[in-house]
Amino acid sequence: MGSNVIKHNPMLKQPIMLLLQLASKIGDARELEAMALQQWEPSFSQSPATVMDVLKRAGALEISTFMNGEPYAGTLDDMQLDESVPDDAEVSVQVQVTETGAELLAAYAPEHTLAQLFEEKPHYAEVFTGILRQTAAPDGATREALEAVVDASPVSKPDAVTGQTKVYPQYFIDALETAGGIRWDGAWRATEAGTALLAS
Amino acid sequence: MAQTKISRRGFVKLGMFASAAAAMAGAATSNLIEVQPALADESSETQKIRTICRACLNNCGIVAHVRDGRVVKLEGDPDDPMNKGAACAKGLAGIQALYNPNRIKYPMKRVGERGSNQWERISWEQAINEIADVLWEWYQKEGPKSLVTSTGGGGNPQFFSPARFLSVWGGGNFFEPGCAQCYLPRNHMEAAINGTADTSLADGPVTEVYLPDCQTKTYVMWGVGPSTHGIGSTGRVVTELRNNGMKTVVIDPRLTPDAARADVWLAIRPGTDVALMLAWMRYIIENDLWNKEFVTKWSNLPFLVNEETRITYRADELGLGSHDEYVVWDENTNSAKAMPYPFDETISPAMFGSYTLPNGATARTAFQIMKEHVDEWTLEKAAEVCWLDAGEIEEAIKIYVEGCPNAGISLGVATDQARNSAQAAQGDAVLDILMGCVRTPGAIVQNRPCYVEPCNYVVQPFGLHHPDHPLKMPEAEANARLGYTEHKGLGHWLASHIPTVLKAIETGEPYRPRIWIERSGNKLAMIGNASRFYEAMMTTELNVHMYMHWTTTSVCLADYVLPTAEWLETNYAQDRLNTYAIRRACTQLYEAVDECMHWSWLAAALAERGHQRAIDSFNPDIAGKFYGTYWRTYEEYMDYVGYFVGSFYYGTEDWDWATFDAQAPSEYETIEQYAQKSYDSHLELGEDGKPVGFNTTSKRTEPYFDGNILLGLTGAVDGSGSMEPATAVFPASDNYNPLPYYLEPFESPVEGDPGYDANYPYALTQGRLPMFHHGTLRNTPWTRELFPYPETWINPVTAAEIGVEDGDWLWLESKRGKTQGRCRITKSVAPKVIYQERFWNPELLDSDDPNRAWQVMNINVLTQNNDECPFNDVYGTYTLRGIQINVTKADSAPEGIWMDPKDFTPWLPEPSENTGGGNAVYGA
Amino acid sequence: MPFMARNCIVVNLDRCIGCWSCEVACKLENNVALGERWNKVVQVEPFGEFPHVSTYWLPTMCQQCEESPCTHVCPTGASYRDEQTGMVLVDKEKCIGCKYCMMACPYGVRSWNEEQQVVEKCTLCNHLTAAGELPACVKNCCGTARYYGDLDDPESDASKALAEAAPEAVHHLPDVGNHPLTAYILSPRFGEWRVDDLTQTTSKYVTTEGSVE
Repeated sequence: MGSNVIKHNPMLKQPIMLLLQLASKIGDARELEAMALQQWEPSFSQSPATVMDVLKRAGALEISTFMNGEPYAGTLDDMQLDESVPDDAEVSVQVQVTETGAELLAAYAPEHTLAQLFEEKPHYAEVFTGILRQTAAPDGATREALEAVVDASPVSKPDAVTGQTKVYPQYFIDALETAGGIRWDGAWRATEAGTALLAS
Repeated sequence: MAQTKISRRGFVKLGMFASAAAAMAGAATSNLIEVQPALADESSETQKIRTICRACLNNCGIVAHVRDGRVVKLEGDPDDPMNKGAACAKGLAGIQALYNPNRIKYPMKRVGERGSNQWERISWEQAINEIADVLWEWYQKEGPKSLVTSTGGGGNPQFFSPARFLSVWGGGNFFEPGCAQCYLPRNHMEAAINGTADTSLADGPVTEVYLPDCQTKTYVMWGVGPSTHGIGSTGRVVTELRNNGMKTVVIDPRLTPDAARADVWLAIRPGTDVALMLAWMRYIIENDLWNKEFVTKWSNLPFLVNEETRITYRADELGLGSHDEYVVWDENTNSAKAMPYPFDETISPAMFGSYTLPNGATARTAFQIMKEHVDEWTLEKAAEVCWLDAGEIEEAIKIYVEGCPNAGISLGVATDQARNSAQAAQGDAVLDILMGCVRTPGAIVQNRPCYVEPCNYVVQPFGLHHPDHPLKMPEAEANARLGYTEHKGLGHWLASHIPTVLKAIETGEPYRPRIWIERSGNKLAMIGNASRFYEAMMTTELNVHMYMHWTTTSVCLADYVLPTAEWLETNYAQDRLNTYAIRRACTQLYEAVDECMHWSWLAAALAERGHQRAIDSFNPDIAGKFYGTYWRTYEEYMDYVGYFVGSFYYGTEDWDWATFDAQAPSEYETIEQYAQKSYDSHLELGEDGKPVGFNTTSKRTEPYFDGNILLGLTGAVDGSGSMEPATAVFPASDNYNPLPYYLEPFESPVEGDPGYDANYPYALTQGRLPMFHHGTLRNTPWTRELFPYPETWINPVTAAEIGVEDGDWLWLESKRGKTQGRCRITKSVAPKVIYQERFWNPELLDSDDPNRAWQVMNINVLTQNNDECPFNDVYGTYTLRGIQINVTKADSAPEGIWMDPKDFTPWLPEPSENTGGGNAVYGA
Repeated sequence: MPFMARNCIVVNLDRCIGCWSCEVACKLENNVALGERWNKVVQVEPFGEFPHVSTYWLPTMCQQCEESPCTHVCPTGASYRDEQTGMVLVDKEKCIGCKYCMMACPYGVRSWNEEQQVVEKCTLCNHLTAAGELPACVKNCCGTARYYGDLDDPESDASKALAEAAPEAVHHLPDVGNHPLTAYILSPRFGEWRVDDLTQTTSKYVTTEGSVE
């Protein structure tokens, strides 16, 4: 993977994915920012502009400025300080998702990460499915309900030889959330990708 | 591609790429506050404030001079009974630390991605609430296991703040880079064995040497360097005693000042201390030098041991008496007999031998087991393993023995830093017991406990001493602490195993901590195998750093940075022998605040959101007076400190801060009482008319520490714990061993050993320097100009072998990575042993690659904390000292490092005024 | 010429533990600039055959010479001897920055103050001693290794320290006719007194084995 930016900033995963998805369809930076703002959540913690900056530095998003239709070598900030740029210049800023950005989109697409999770941990598939079922209910599920699913499963029993607990309910909840199968909004709910996986 | 006609004003207003607040400047002066001139021209009155330093944990008495609200001078307090007016470079640099232009002055929030070093200033209110929001969400979503907290020994820590927070939070993990790698093994194991106290000189329990007319005849400093670690108090007092005729033996790979002045210096190979201890034990037993009276009556060595379980027999197991009684072989009647407590004078217990029990089984005495166990460790064998001379080992033992029982051994942090940590602590405790150096005048092991163990930190986790406290961390959560099951010793400090925490973050199993709150300096410089730590901590959801100065944790890893207070800005209490002294804040700068308030404010914010335990932590009826509630204001905290001191030391429940302050420092008992209360205190009669004995299961000292087995099986040394057994720990047997045993360092310099790798021929060790404390003080000009870069100490023979000269820049490389140092050719170390102390470069934080700050000259890039090398069984200790490295010449110094004294000019102090700190702007 | 007093510091190297506290205490007390070292602590690299090596730490500062070359060469009288205290001092008002005194000093213990463009050095903290206090380096010393006072007063700490020391343990930096007052106590069992050109070093360590062998 070309960029660690999501791995090293999991709290930015959602805003990054949102921006990259939108940027796949929207080329104008201002339009992108406005669209992003409409869907922006308080928990994202950074502004769309900042996240675009982050993606630029990560090599996932190319941001180019144009003056009067011609490429301008610099940022918008540079342009403001540049005396040679006339006041009435026609300015536009364009964005483009790079190969690195496309890689991120693919790698962190919930359909992909969920499938990957089930592939890597087949011995937990039953528990994961059980959790997805609970969360697919109309009211979602409480944390306690999900913990009960795990506790009821043989995977949570202590190791027969050592007597040690090998895995806790938290692992399963966390793994599914990280993989994009469930999300929290006061209760645990299956996401689209999670529901789709259940259906299949 | 849409084009829009935008005027210049238009696209300024667009504000799309509004630049973030100024990056943290490593070199520039602060642009966040207006700096006022340092001192008024006209003379004004100077206030002299008696306070306590916290540049390190010697806690020396200091007199601070304050003029016009500015701290202008520091000097040692002549009336402090421990440092008596001395003050070291670290303490004296306190002003430069306090007014360092690069203090973390305000709560800061990261802008952009981690490590991009862009920050915006936010209010305390915003900081606390945003962090609490994240905490509360994760608590609801996944439960308390989502949080991991940490602290460190540097930077004025209130050590148990994070653990206290976790007890309220209701679960989670806490770690410290020291802990299993510093002090915990000794603090736990030595006291568990000698039923008295550990022998750490640096951490406080050793008080005997400070007594007037100290009677210590011989002091063995095993991996201890008071002249380098403590100086004002410990360095001073040891120097004094040494010059007044006390004999000293120093066991240390490095020629420290104490080694240079010792009667015997054993330049031991790093990591081989237990081998030497076993040889000492053998010598003492072989030559019949052990203290007959004490060992016979007050140790468990005469007790018969079950050969299968390796646990000492109880009389009821053999139908000889009650469960409270142990079993000995009586030489008078030639039979097994129950030994009642404390001792039956009609019985003459055999100390050695193997006997047939009434049930037909054979059993040896514990002492016999010990004797056989150490039998292979002749002086010659130890000499070979430890790279020493057998004659000199013998000389050292003789000096020790001659001084006994008015003598003792202090064990230092060195042995806590490799996988033989528990065993070294065992060995040290055993030796002083064999020689009867326990609670005798002049002995190092004394019964003058801090009233609140360990270390007498005032702020305690709820329920630390009261298992039924409602706010004690629930048992199921406590038992789920990462690595605790395998390494039961960690429970003594409520701590978790760092490599297991990292593994949990890396793999998700058994569960993944998601939020990291760190109250200390500089994890990337201090944690073993720093690169692994970096990778793991970059994947958390939220990292909060609470500290005074910008460090690698803040710049490279943090999402929020919260300012804590320097020691000159805090109020606290400190025992100084028979007196209680006080730390008085001389000023409070910017919005910095004592870390106790950070945790308190977070708890208050959680309470607001409905976290029941947090709500309860503010309820005095639930919290109780012993632990106190959490505090909404600093004044409340200070009053708790005053109450604590009064209730534990002065016999009154009425104190608040004002009362304490009005009379501190003062004696809580006379020095005679203080001295005498320990001697033979095990003989004092209790309510039942019997001697109170030692604080162990058997009430005798337990050099045959079968409690270790029970610890491993249950989590408690008396077998009463509820935890799952520690299994698959090193060595192969499932149980912790009652006796110390030697483990060759996993990476070994010995050809033929499985751990030998010709690519890494040299053994690397570390050790303290007198101008730094852990990771601190690399950014204070007067300490940094003395030691601007880490020195690589190499013996001339080895230097010639490698082909390097004094002053050459070097590469040091291990299996984990490579880093640099500068060559000092010196006979302060043996051939094939290299010394370099931890280091990091604050000046590199403000660059395109802030990670270089912890990479370019930091031996913790080389040290080990992964599964490749087994951890210590009881504590999970990973290896910091005694790893194998290679050394080659480098072309140059790392780029961009500061070396010339003038380079440190940007860090010269910028005095600023007393603002009242964070307390003035926020109070929950 | 007899003076009113012969004030100096006596340092007991048996006790000195190389902690650098005196160096930093001096800087704090006198606001000494980065790079300037009025009281420079140097370690004599361990010498002898490993592991039976000897070492000591040597704090060097103005040695308060009786026949001080610095006062002799000073063209303006800025470098002078105080008549009352006998101390060798610098009057910064008179210093023209020619640095002759720095060249004349055999021990390299005078410093150049960049900011003020004058020479400066250890003042024996006479501003403190005049008020009955001890010099900062003496007060704060963690080895209790420094003793201040008038060698002409047998009751002074300096005199008493010298009196208690075995004669073979008392040493001075090389005397080329300047008669340094400052004395060092180093018991033979801790090592041979090897001084040569030690004090001209700018680093923390000085190796002496070449010079002896």
